[in-house]
Amino acid sequence: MIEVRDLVKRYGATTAVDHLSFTVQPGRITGFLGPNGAGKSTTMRLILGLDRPTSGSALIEGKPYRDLPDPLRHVGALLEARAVHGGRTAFNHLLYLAQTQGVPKRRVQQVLELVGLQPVANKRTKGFSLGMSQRLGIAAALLADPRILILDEPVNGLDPEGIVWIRDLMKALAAEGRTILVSSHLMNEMAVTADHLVVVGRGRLQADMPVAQFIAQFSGSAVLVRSPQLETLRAAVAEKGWQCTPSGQEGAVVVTGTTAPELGELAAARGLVLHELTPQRASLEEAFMELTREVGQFAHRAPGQPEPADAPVPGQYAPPSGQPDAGFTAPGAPGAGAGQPRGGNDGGH
Amino acid sequence: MAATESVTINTLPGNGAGSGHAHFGRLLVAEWTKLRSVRSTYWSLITVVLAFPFFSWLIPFLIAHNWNQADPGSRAQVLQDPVSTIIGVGIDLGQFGIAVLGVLVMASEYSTGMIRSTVLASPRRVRMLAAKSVVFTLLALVIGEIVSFVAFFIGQLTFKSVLTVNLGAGTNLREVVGAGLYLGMLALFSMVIGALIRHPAGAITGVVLLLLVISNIIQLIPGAAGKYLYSYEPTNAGAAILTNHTSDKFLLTAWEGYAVFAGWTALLWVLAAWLLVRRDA
Amino acid sequence: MSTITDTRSTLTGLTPLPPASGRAGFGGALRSEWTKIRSVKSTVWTLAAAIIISVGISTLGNWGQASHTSLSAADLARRDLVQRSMFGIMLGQLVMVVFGALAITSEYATGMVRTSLTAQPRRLHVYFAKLVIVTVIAFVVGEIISFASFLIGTHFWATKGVDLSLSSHGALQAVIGGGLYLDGAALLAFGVGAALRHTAGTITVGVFLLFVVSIIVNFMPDSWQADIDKYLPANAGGQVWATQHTADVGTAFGAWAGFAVYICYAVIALLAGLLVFKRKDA
Ligand SMILES: Nc1ncnc2c1ncn2[C@@H]1O[C@H](COP(=O)(O)OP(=O)(O)O)[C@@H](O)[C@H]1O
Ligand SMILES: [Mg+2]
Repeated sequence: MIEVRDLVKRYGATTAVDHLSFTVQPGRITGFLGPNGAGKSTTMRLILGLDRPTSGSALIEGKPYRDLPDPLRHVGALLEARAVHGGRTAFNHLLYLAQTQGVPKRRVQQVLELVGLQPVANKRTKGFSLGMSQRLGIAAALLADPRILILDEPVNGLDPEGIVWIRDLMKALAAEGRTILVSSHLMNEMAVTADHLVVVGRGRLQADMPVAQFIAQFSGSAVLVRSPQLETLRAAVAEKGWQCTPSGQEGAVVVTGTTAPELGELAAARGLVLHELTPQRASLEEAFMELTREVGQFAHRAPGQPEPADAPVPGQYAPPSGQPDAGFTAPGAPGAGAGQPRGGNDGGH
Repeated sequence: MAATESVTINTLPGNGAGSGHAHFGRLLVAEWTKLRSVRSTYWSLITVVLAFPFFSWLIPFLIAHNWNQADPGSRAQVLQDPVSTIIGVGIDLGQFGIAVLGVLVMASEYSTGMIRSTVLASPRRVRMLAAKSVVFTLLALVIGEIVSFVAFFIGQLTFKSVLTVNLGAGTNLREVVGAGLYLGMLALFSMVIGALIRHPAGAITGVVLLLLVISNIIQLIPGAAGKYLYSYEPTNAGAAILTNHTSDKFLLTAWEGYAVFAGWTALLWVLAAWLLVRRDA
Repeated sequence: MSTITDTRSTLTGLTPLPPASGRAGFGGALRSEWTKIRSVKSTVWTLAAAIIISVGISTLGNWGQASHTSLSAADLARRDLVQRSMFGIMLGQLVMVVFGALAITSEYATGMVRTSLTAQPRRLHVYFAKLVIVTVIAFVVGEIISFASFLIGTHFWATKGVDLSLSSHGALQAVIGGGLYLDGAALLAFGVGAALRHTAGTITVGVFLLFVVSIIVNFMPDSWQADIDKYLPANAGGQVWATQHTADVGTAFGAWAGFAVYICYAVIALLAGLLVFKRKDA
């Protein structure tokens, strides 16, 4: 188990991690999600004792990393894959790590085989592709059979086969009861990999909940409706307290805050003709972008839009406007903005 | 690509049994692996191993060759300290191989980012620094002693036709042993500079400036202050062990000088250890 | 639409590009090398260090010597006080070696050279653009060092009754020469760096050529020294920042002949670097 408690890290004027608290439970894959610059890598370095926190603490099995005996036997980490001496061979890179932990030499060969680097074991790592470096980093993480894995964007640079492989690997390791914290800036990747999500934006916790709950909470309750009597329908929708947003299509709107059956029943009760009634499942990627949009470090301009757009792009799902950040923390958590929302920790499943 | 079912590579025996903190012996072995698995180690050491004995042959050869034409002054100089004549140039050159390697041993951990792997494997950073120091200093010391003796014997043979240099005479043995000791301490000193500056180019510049320029020009500082600075400058102090005649500006005996060099190294080592723990890796 | 001219394209709002002019030219290469060199911390640091160290040591050295000398003004005037005033160049040349080395080896250390050569596949352009930028920067910094050192030095010697100025005999040539000498050190290192592609190795070779060979030659018999000494890079190049051209053993070159010999070393290194840069995989 990894416990992060009220962690803060400042680099000069930049606050990379801002009162972050969460725990990572064994037996499942915890996705650590956030846009570029959100503070994921920094948090991982703090957990691993590489950087000193400005305040707060991070504990592994109840201890600071530096107090772990033979730390690589407890925790395997993949940080920047390129951070190896280019003049050293892959084998020797793993060998010296193995020697610090009393890991037999045989095992170096085994992990190299496992990640598919056997053929280049005696090549200097300077010539490695990003994907190969990544595999070497994964080999280093698995070297001493750790119960906890911390992987920073492990799919970077991997080929599609490699991505499937690392995903299956993480699932198998989690199934063995190991603790896995894996960061990514891609929601879709996490949706198919992780069991639990910790979402950060600008160093602050945005969500901490099971993936299933995240999906249910952020990608439901929007319905596209097409009707020749659109104006009457709008009025009826407004009476119910639901919201209409433009759909970008002629004669149709997106209604949020309700479901297709409810909206269909409303139309029937009022005697309104509907030409189309389609539930809109916004993609998880959109939900994630929405969640971190306000806090994104590197806000992008939408394609085709000359001015920076604050409003959601018409036709896309947008959450009801009356419901800001508060909607994005798990039930039972105090509202966001309080600095450190506690996550809806379900204690494993 | 290995199939997924091989994922569960054999669990390590005794894992999690908590065998205490990574014991020091393991760190020594690991640091030795690191040292022997990069080319810069070999390049740097080859410089010392080849250049030092080569010049210990060349200089005596040239002197012997010209012995009869040489003026009495230069002959007297050679006769006063033949060992220093034999090893002087070789060590002046060879020391750069050791110094550059020393800097790289530590600074390249930072320039490659490898320090993170190192510190993850041994989060007790001071122990790691200690292990690195022991391994590298011992290597430099052993190579330094071997090369110094080889160089001495080569020079002794080359001088044979014009003068006899006896290892047992005067301070000769101390100078030869001292050459190895000097290289060993310089290795550690440079490594510590690498740990402090963390940037290979910057640290090499610092060490070379100290060895070549600063150590010389401080003697231009007038008065007693100049004498003290000149004598207590780490590499000047350390090099006193290599000769039997020091300039009148030099205030220390050979062993006092070596102790001063060691003292500087220890002081900077403690500073480096403190910073290593304090700074982000 | 064959070209993307639609204002509603994905990249709308960015400054429109001027029409492509064919191949990336030398002017562009120059500008990009200038941007690279001034936007990197280590370059700026190295140059700042060169100035501070050199001028600082010159100042301290001259102050110390001028305030403790027992020589009379007439005796002092016979010495090469112009060269002595720029004493800090002895250290400065080493820092210039580091600058010249880093200008090229840092591209290999970071792998950036691949980006550079993708943007400008004509390697000679990249090489010469870098060379021009390094030459110009090293020249400017070198001249700052030599002029500042000299002007500060004159002040100390004036207190001893020695009147030094740029119009003193040979002074202007020597002071300009001080900057040129430093420039040459940077170019030598640049060439070696292009050939070796390794920062530590390059600095070591530079130090060897500029400092260490003289140590070796010192131990040679006088008759050999007389022939070799004046050709050593530091001795030959040293003439251009001196007003008196004498040697301990044998003869010395004149200012510009010496400088020409010195520059030959740099040119040889630069040619070697050019060959490697052009031929070897980046
Ligand atoms: N060593 C450092 N020095 C200064 N700023 C840093 C450092 N490391 C990270 N940062 C800053 O902290 C923020 C978070 O960075 P990071 O943790 O790398 O984000 P992520 O991994 O989520 O993309 C960024 O603004 C980054 O610029
Ligand atoms: Mg990151």
